[in-house]
Amino acid sequence: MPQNSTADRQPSSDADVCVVGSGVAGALVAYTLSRRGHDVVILEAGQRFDPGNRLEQMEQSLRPHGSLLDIWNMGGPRDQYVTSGGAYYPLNQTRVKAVGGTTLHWLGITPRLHQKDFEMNTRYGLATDWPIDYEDLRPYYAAAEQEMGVAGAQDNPFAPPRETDYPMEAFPASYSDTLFADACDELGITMHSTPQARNSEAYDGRSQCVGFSTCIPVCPSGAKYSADVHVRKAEAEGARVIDRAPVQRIEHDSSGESVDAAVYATPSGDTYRQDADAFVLACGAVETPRLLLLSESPQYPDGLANSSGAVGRYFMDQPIVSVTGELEQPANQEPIGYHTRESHQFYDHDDPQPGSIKLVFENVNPESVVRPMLSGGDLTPRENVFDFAMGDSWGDEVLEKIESNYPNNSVRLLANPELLPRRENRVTLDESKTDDFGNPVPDVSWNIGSHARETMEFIREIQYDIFDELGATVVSETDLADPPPASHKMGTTRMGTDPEESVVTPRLRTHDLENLYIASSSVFVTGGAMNPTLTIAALALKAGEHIDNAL
Amino acid sequence: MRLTRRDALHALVMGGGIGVSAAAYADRGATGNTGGENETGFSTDQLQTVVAIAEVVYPTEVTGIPEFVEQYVTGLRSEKQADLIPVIDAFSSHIRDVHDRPFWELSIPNRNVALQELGVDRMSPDPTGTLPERVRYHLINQLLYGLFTVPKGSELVGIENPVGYPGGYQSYQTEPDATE
Repeated sequence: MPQNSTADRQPSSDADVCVVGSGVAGALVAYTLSRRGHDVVILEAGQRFDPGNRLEQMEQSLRPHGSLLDIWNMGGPRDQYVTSGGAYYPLNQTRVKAVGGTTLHWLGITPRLHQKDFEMNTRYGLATDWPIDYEDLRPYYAAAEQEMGVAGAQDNPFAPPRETDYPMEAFPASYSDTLFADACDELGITMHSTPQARNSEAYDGRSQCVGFSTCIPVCPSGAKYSADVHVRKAEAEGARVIDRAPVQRIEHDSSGESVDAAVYATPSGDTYRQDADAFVLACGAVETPRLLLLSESPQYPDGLANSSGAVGRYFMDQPIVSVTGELEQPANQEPIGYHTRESHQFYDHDDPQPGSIKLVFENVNPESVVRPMLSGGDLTPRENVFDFAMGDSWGDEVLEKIESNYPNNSVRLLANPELLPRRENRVTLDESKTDDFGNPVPDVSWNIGSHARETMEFIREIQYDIFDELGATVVSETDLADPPPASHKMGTTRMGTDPEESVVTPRLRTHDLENLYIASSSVFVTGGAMNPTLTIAALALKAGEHIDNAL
Repeated sequence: MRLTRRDALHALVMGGGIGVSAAAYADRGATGNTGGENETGFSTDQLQTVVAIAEVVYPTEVTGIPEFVEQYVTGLRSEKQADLIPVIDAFSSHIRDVHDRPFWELSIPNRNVALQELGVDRMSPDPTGTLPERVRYHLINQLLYGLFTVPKGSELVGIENPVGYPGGYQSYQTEPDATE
């Protein structure tokens, strides 16, 4: 039983730091500070899931009953939202509210941003520069890789400089990677390994990957890093977690210069105030600005820490561009839940357009026998993964259908383009709709913009070139006009030196309130085309250091 | 393809029926460990009923079904066994009412007809639904899940390390068999 863990949801007395949210950012800030001797309380809106139940959760995810959202209790009245931009945003399919946050169901890919991502304005006259650069973040990247346990190799000629080897060896290339490699050789495209927070060997008391192939939505072995790891480490250092305690608002003192308390609700219907010397918002790029906006006061009528008017603005994600094809030979090796090769050759660019591209060589699994067998032989691909259609056969009949319908010759390429921060892409409050506590829900308004669209068209050309060389016939592709997001939510409380333009300082403290910090992808100034989680972790470690110095 | 007790042990680890984490399983190797005991327990009639259902819904190529199924269901977590038992009893009672004999005494084609007459083939699985929905969820799909998340089941379609089975990550490097 973790120290100080309790079903008692009353506030702690004499807390030094109150952390709101227990995803990767909150967990690492809490761990950093509790390890340095501070009394830390974490308030988490969602529940704590028992790691001992993950095999059960995997079975739930593979059996055709209910919604995949049920596995981590996503959605429902608590998580109501609206989306009003030109592109639909499926928010509740992309985030988990629970101890460990969205890392409970993430894929686990952990590249660093490149130098150019911090200097977009200087280099290209686009967007805004970060107030820190790659060199500032570099030691924190290294520390984050150690904490999370990243498997990788220094075989990527396009990667930013690094000082040490990765904590673990990279996952080797798959069979389908070798098919792509021949085609890419001909085209002069370099493939390389993919850094990922997944154990290629036993690490930090957690198992090596044993190949359950269910990384999304759940890794039963614990080989994939999830932030509940650092929540438990923080608890071992004395931190306390109060779960199912959604924070309703942040309250400041009479001077308006510092925060007094986080007001949270509990399942029993009680509302409490947690006092602390410092507060850290670590609720991701939607709930962090929402909480600041909900915390409006006579002194801050536009929301807390929002004298810049930037809270909620510059929301970013990366559209997915993928294409699936078929070969005349078998391509689908034994199943696995993640990809093993990427190309960052198209990441750094000389001209402003097209922008950065991260190219992924997917490992397409052979068709599972579980789904058609348990669905009565229904072989129709589901319209979406949350919809299970049912057939009426079993046994030999299904087996025959599978054998005659699945040649297992599919290949897939996937890519993310960078999407520039746009002021009108934003998270606001929709006063016409409320959550289970009567608070206005977030409205995520997302448009893709010409820079990303031009980059997406270039991606499609590259993908077609590779397929042509490979001899693959295209069978399906994402719609460039209406792409799904990569679930990499960023922006909305951007970092900067100018309080008129930004929400937090380079030390991750809000400009407006002297003891309020933000550790989240919400502080990103630009998002690049990389998966954001390692950068979130690095910034969280940096925030922890600054808070420790300030206390 | 003949199922063995070892195959059932593999399936049980997948189903969380054994008191061992996947990580511990990986450390221990593929022999598994039966760990705890059955707290609920099945009667012989109940086991015969479940085996008789498996003989309908498993492909005919599969042999060794009684041994596999008995090992699998008696090794499930006690909570899961407690879910299964009332469904087996309600199903058995229905079959006796309609056919005047236990399910396992029907021929396999007649068992198939009996399941269809009950509507099990047309219903979506639902753990708390009507009898056919519960039969499909707790009995048929549990048995199918047990078989097809272990190599002995997935090998019927040429997969040695199926989704849901911790067969290691190395197998993804191997060229698929072009003859399959």
